[in-house]
Amino acid sequence: MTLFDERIPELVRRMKDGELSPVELAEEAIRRIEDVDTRVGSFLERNDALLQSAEQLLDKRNRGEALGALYGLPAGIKDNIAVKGMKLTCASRMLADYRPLDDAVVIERLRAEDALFVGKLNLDEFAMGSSTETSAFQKTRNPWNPETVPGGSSGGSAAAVAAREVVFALGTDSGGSVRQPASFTGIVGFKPTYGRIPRTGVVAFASSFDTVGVLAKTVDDAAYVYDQLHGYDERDTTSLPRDAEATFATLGQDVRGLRAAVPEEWLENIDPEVKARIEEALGVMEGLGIGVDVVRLPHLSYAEAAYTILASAEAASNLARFDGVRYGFRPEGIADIDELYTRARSAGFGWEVKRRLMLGTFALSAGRYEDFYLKAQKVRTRIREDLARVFADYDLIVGPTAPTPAFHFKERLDDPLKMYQNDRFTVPANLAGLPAISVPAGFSGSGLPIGLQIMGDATDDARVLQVAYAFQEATLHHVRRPAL
Amino acid sequence: MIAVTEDMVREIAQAAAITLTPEETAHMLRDMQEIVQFVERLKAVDTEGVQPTIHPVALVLAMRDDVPAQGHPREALLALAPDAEGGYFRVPSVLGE
Repeated sequence: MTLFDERIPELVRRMKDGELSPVELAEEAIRRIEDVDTRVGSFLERNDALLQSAEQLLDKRNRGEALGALYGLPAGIKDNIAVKGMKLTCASRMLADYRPLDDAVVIERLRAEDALFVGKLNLDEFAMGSSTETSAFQKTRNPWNPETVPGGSSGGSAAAVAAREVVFALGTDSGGSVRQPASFTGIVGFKPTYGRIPRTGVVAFASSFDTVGVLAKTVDDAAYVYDQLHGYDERDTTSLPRDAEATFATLGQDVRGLRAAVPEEWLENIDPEVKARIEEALGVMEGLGIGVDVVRLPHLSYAEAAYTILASAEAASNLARFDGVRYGFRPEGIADIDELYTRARSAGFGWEVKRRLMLGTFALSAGRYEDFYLKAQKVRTRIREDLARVFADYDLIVGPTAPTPAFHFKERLDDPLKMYQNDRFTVPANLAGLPAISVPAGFSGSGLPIGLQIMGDATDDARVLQVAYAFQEATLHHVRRPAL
Repeated sequence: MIAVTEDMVREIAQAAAITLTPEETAHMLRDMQEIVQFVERLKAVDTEGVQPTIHPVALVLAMRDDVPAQGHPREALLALAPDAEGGYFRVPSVLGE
């Protein structure tokens, strides 16, 4: 039991009451990183000023000033989110030395609530991947088994929370990048409705999919942090223009009488141990008074293909900005401007990024646009319609977060289709912009965590958290932690 | 069925401003053939009369007041560039000799 096993609201209360100081928590983070991070590899950069910031927070309390909701909590930030003064690499050689001039909106909000920033966390390059193996800089290992991946693309964020190096972490989820690593590392990963959390200051990968999410050890911790992050910001015109609704206070609300749908194909072609844990989880949900039915969504099996085209096309457009002129990597000995563009991009991007830029450019090119890009956009509509039909009769869609537990390094790296298949249960929520969470649902025989995914209709973020919380409180899966 | 060819890979790479070595071209050809074959399954979906989804959530046009604001000073932005001179980004020859 470490300090970081304690729930967030209790830690904040103890610090506000003076029983515990932000300096002690900062020291705990440093100690923990020094103990375990050579084996985990979550951090790309650590904040040298952490202790100093913690002392400033202590002074703030001593002066009798008002203290924020996240007072003194050491947080880790996925390295595609801008924190002023720190690097913003996206785990890419292209941005190896880039330091942004501004905080992302989410960082401003965490800062305003007195959170501490422990450092920047590893990811798949530009968030493209499902194992954090496409990072140009380092490997992150799963704290439950160092031979397996932590999932991705927010693998550093998930591993840091699971290894108790931070109290919570921010990640991003465009096709499952918060939920799948949470599932692989036995923690909670919450992706809210698209637009709930402003994206300004988050490096764009696939703009109609990109969503900031929270990784924490429990649902209540995730809800508590999420409440400090959501709400409109005028700098992101795709953020939702509605009043922020607090979710944490609604946890514990009765979930009896709700109805959950399980897509038939989510129980097919999956690891038998995942299937067993999910069936047990569905039994727990029934025990909570939630009606569970298996349903058929005719277009769901096309989700992955549609996502692959659309996310790659949006990436090809977004990453056109990396030209070696205004910022980022520039090679030596360049003769002319065309050579600058191509050499900067060829040496700056890794293979997975190139593969997606190629596919995206292909899908958008003259003569192929209608058959690929436009077709995928129409299939996206079909999938949204399927989901809307289900939500007319049901409150939730539930099933596994990923078809398998964490896999071994290199197992899928050279097989893009096998790697993309990891996302097949998580991409539907991104295609339709829906809120979804991964919550611990038990373990495989070899001790690897397995996650239950709970998805809600658009803007039903609070309900998703309420049901996940009820499930968590009815089970003990979230209590186990990796030995390390 | 669309057959991805080596010429097609070269053409796409040029459009994406990426250079590939001959070895990489062969590797990319294999990967793209595999991925394109996979995504072609979308052809089986009847999308007659279906509107494309461009954005997942219905958005309203957000207006804001036109208030002048101070951005970052030019020097701070130029300091992020790989090369700058006299208040401008510096790039190699654009028009050639």
